[in-house]
Amino acid sequence: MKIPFSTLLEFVPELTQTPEQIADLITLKSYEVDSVYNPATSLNNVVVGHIQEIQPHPNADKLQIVQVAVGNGEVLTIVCGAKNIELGQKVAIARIGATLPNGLSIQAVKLRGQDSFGMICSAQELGLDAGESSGVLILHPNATEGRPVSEVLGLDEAIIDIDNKGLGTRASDSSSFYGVAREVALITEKKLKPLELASFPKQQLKQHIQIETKACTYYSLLSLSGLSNYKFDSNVLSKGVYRVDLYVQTGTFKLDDRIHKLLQVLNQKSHHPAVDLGNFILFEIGQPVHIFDAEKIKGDTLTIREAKKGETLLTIHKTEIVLEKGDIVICDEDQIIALAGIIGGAAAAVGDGTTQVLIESAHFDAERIRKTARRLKLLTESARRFERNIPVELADIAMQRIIHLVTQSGLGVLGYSHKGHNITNHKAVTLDYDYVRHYIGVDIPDDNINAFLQALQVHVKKPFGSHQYHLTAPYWRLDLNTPEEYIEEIARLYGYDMIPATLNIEKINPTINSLFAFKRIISETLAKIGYTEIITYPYSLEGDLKLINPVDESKPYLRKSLTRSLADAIILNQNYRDKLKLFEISHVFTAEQHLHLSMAFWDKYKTSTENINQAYHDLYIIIAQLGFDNNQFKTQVSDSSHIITYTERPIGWIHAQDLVIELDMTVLAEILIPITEKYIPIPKYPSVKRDITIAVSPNISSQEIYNTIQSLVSKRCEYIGFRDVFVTEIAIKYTFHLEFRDLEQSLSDEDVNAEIAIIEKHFN
Amino acid sequence: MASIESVQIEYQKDIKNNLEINEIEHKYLSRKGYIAELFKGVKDILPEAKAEYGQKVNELKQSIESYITEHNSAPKIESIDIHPVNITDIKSELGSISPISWLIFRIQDIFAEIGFSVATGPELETEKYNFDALNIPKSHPARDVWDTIWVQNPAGIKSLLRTHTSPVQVHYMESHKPPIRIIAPGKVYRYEATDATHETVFHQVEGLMIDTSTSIATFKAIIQYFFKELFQQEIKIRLRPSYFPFTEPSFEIDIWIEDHWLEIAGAGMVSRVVLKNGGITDPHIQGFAFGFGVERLAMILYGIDDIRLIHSADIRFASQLGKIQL
Repeated sequence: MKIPFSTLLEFVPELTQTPEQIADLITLKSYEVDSVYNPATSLNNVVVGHIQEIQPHPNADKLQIVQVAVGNGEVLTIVCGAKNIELGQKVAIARIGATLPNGLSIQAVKLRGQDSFGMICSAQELGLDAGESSGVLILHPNATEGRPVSEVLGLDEAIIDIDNKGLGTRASDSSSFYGVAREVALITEKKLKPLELASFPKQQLKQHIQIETKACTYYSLLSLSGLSNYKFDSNVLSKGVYRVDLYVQTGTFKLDDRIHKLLQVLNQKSHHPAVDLGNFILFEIGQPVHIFDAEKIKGDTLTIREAKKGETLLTIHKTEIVLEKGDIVICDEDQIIALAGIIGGAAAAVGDGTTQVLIESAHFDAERIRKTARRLKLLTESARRFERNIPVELADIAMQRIIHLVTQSGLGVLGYSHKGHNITNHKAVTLDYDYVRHYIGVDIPDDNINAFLQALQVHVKKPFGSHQYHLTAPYWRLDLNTPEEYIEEIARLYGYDMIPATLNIEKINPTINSLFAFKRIISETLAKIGYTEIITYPYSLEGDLKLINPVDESKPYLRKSLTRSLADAIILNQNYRDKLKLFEISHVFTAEQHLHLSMAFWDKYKTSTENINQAYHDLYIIIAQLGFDNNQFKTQVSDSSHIITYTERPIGWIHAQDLVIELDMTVLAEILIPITEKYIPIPKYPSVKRDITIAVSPNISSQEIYNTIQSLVSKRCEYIGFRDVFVTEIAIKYTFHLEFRDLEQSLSDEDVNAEIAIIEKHFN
Repeated sequence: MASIESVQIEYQKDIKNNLEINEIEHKYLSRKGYIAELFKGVKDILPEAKAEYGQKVNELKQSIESYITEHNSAPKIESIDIHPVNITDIKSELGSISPISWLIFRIQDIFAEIGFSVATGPELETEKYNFDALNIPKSHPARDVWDTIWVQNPAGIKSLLRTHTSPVQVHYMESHKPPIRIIAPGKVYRYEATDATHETVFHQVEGLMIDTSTSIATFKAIIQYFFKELFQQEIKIRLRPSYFPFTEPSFEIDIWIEDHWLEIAGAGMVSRVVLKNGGITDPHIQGFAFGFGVERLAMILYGIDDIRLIHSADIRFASQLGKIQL
């Protein structure tokens, strides 16, 4: 929300700080400031030019050569393509060296062989709202040659842009010039000027207000006349005349120039001064008001009611919207004339020929407005304010402010009517000042707390004999409803920087989160043996869980396996390396959300079998590192993949095609019974080592042979290790290395030969 | 047949010419060398002269041996070539954890020092934990479809990918009694257009401390300690007012980095509503919570200029960082 600095000065005249200093103070004490800027700085080197001469371009039909006086007797030659230029007009000239808000930097150029020393700008090129105008911007005839255009257009003032999201519940009191001024007065400890208001007319309106929904608690209407001299000349506007000047030329109803300039600074669209007035009130007071053309309203009753499903409304922007139950509408006796708090309808819209207006100032339910506005994507300035909840008191203040402003400009107020409840009921909050001190962690005396509350205009009462205070917030602070909300006010006014950093905490030991500890050990182990961790997106072509609003339409599911992503990563990175060792640890999405590990090994110069076996080998490094009982791991071959089990439970999958091994860490962490490390005496007798090569038919796996050998040997076989494989056309030969030892005596060759014979016999 | 005299002359000549020690050794002392030849020649010597002859040959042998020992005091070195090592090759052999994991583990260690445990929670969440329990009312704009990634759930419960790590606060409070000191690192999801600073998936670390005496002053001390440890130097921090529905008061935390204030985390005293939703109703118990984006921190610490690199799976990025042991 943009706050022109002059509005702060208007309401807090004693301010001595610069806009930047005020912005810093707001940042530290109140809420987030997005930026402080001056729109004029982006219009450096853009000056008023006076068109002296227009000649056709010798080589181009659509271009003209224009001589423009830019002050001090200087005349520039500019080649221009706009159709709306005329001799004697005042226009905006971007001189050589100017950089326009759209980034265009102006240099001397040749256009179809003719030199051009600058550019005649359109409103759009100056970063202004162009409305329906086309062509270059035509300035007021009184504008002085050579003056900066920013000054002529009233753009030369600092703007403090306040972050709307950061406002939070403070949006209810700070979504306006006056609201922010009140806050600035508070934090600078300066006086806030009261708003100048006028009283309501005695005269009642002929229109009857009928409220039929609880979503509208208050509704008021004000009738203004005297717009009859105003003639909206769309013809002039389409020629590119900027609207501030338009009013000066064509209407007798005049709002203060300052108001126009502020609206211009805020870049507001308008087609009518009454609409401008309404917009200005919204920005100044924070109360959205709506302006109807009084003569277009049928009948004498205005009804505020719930919409029926399927009803439609043609908006002032001439788009048709379809309503739902729950939307709130304003109707005359014929039709819907506005979507309450959001946008007006075309039927009673102010426009050409409007001579009498009805101004609506009302209060609508925040949640209803939010729902409707967001469903219809109509986040108008009005809707933005209503959806954040604003005090009902503002409705009357806005009207009184309007009356004050229009009576100054010579308009007549015909009448006023209102219906509903216009007072916020604030409940008193009980606050224990010891709690305040304990919560903040600093000893603030009672008197200081009271002084802060007084500055906030909070009503403070201390019942006799009680050590607690009863606080009632001023009407504009809808956000003060709990002790902690008051503590926030006290703490920020005391100053967050004044609160000491106090560390007197008890020593406690952190507990171990086994899954997280697992993740850390595995990551660090894999990194140690050369694996690099990657993180990939969870979106997938397939899965159990589908997204309602996927960020990538081609991947509408949440993945239930990490394999695809890692396999893709291997393919992607094959361009960059000859050897890859990658892993990922992420959640997968099934009914249960398990943490998975995926790992892959790829060496350009190795076969797929060698690669997947290397990954499988490296997996056992993790298993060893985690202290698992190695013997409980089994790898079972099924048709499509290899399943790794631990104590018979499936915990992993070898996707050989993709070179990826995937492990369910959640299950692993649940079932892990780590072996305790224990010293085993170094054996006294030597071992006997044998290599044995077994030839089998090619469909038999090494794992199978391994398992068979394990079942055949006696307890004296203390080690079996796979060594080699050799494939021929008719058979496959596996070599295993075996070690035998007897703890009580030296083994003889005969003993070992007997064991080997059993194995050989089995495979013959 | 060589005589002792001729060998002696030859030997003197060789010494004078600085013949290589190993050549002298070979020429005189090897199995077929002059000394061996002289010893063999003893059989041709008259019996009465044999003793003298033997003695002379021995003397010559000893003088050659002592000459060799003297000039051969340095052990023989075979010249070995040490090849240059390019650390780039080593780095590509060395694996690495992602900079995100690296930071999270580092943060874990820093907070473990002051008694914070690690807590985790589901990434697939319910509206209840992601919003309701955190006092984010139905009317909060963040609940609208453009911020949250919603999930079709066959069970009929409206599910979503958590938009922040704050739901872990409530999960943890439900299952643990104060004092509570936790950090909760993990992935969060946003329905957002991506660019150099915006991602649909990123990591946050949530912090929560609840007991009878935790105040804003405590929070300031803890957060100051954290940044000092993380950056390994005194870091200037400031708190400024902000708004989150689940904290009261709420702060933004700025750190002073490279001559400007940088917004780095959101925080606040845990709202009474949230405490109550987590089952804590004792008015004497209070605490703070904070949360920050890990990617943002990584980008500052490592100078990463595009957040999308984190999820790029590109080895040229992933292998650069996270190698140095904690």
